[in-house]
Amino acid sequence: MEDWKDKIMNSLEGLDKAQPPANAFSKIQQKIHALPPKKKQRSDNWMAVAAAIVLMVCSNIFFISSYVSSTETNSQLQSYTDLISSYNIYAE
Amino acid sequence: MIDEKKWLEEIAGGGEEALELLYQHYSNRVYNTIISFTKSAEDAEEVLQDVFVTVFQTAAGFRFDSSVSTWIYRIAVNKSLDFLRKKNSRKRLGIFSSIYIRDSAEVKHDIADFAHPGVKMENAEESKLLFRVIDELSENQRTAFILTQVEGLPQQEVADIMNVSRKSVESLLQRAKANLRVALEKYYPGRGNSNKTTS
Repeated sequence: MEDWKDKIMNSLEGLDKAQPPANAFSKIQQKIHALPPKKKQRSDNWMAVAAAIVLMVCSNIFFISSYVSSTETNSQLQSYTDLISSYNIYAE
Repeated sequence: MIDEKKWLEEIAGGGEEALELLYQHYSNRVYNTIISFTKSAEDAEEVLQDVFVTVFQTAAGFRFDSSVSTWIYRIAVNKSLDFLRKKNSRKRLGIFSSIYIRDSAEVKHDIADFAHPGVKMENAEESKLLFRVIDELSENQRTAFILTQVEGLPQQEVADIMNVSRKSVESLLQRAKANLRVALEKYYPGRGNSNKTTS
């Protein structure tokens, strides 16, 4: 009953490799020669990406350092206030 | 002994002679895979060119994490599937417009009668039927089936190409074969009976 399906399923046994046309490589060469020079030099893209990353990291470091210094100033002010109030307490 | 690493280094530096050597070494295998996906010699040639242009463009970025063979097969499979997706979307657009033109709900697909050039003469008719129903499979099942059954690659190499485990390839292959049988039954419901009566 299933013979016809088995025959179809096994029809690829002993298959030989299909051969590409003889002139296929010359067409590939033509395509390569027609490529814009930008596509051949991919290192330019990586340089741009690296520059963007460096810029982003530097700006983040600058932002974080300025933020930390401002909070330090605030905490120093707070401690001065505490100290003053403490002195006031003891003064009373 | 061939030195693929040296070839790729030369290709990365723009060496076309090395590309030709690589092409001579892999073109038959790559073309054989591609034609099984596209089912057309013209389309397969177009995709083959695209594969080797991509190899030329991306050789500098190849890190030898996998074998060169696996890398080239992976490019070939991806290019073939991309090509088919584009072709099918164009076909869908055509079908969509035909709905308005013909005012008919039934749309007939033009299924190409593809005969693989490497198939044995006595299996020619059966293989045509098989290639007709291969389109019924999902992309992964189709890839696993073509690479193992048409290209004859070991399951582990297919797993490397598809970036899945060997167990997954085994499972995909089993499901592909089961689905092909269902599709054959669907497309040719009377075939078993007619063979029985005539023989």
